[in-house]
Amino acid sequence: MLFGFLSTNQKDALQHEYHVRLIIVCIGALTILFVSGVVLLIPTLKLLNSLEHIAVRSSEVEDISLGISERETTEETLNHFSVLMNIYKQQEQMHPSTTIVRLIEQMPSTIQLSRISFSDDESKVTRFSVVGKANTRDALITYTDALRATGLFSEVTLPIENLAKEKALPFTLVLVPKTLHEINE
Amino acid sequence: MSGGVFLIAFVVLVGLIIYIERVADRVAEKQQVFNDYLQQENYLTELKELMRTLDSGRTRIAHQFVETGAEVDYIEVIENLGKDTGVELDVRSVTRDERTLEKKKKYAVLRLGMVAEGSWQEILSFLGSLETAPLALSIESFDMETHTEDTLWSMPLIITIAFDEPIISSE
Repeated sequence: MLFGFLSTNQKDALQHEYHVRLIIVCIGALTILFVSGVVLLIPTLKLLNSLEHIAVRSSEVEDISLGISERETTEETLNHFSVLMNIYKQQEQMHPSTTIVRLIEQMPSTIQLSRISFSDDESKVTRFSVVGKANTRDALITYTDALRATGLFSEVTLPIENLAKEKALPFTLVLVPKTLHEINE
Repeated sequence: MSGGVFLIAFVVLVGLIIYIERVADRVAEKQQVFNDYLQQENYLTELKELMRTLDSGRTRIAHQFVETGAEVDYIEVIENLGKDTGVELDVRSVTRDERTLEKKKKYAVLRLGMVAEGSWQEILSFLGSLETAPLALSIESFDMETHTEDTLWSMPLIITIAFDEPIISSE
């Protein structure tokens, strides 16, 4: 309303002043906008740098990916080694010679051995068969009991027919040795 | 005019935010791929370390298994054990056989049939040397027998030595 009382010169001056201030405000706003843009661009640039870094590292990793075949070879070698160890473990057995020594240690002088057989076929039970001649029944029974007492066998079988004769008894003992695991328990 | 400037500023800001989000997604994606690679790398390093640790033992164990094509060497090792312990050793059969490792898995073995003759001590010593030989050897059967009143013992025996070969799957 007051604007209508001003002279033309004053109106022109006021409008000019208004436009100058408007331009200043616009320039300020644009400046803030550009500054904000730059500030926002900094993390973007950082992210782009990270991306570039990753891309470079990834290209180095290409060599690792080339090592996939090496990994497979290594895995295969280790698996094969594991199989060999399993085979080794499976083949582990109580040494038959050790058992024979124990058989002899327990044997009284009144018994003569003529044959010792051993069988560890995977389809059958591991067993020893001892053939010989005993002077007396007592000697044979004592020997059988002594073998049972060693704790090396899960079965000691003396067929009753072996006791038919009173003297110079031919005999066949069947022994099932304990496994190493059973002995260690 | 100031409305126009405000609109431009708004559009630029929104555009920048969208752009940054897309870049961040791409970075996350690349990071994931890179992490996967790193995991693979660590796994490979661990495997190599394990290989290095086991290396000497692995070589030693592998030598105890029959190498395909070198069967004669292993037969000779057994014959030499016979000579060293003083028994007369006659290798009568050499065959390739299979043994069961576990369900549906088998491994190849060199199966030797032989007869050893000697004194009780020599036979027992030969048996002991077979058991303690650095070989993946298993005594399958033997039959020590003396026919005469003298000290000569005869022992037909069958042994197996495992081959250093991949497992046989019977699927």
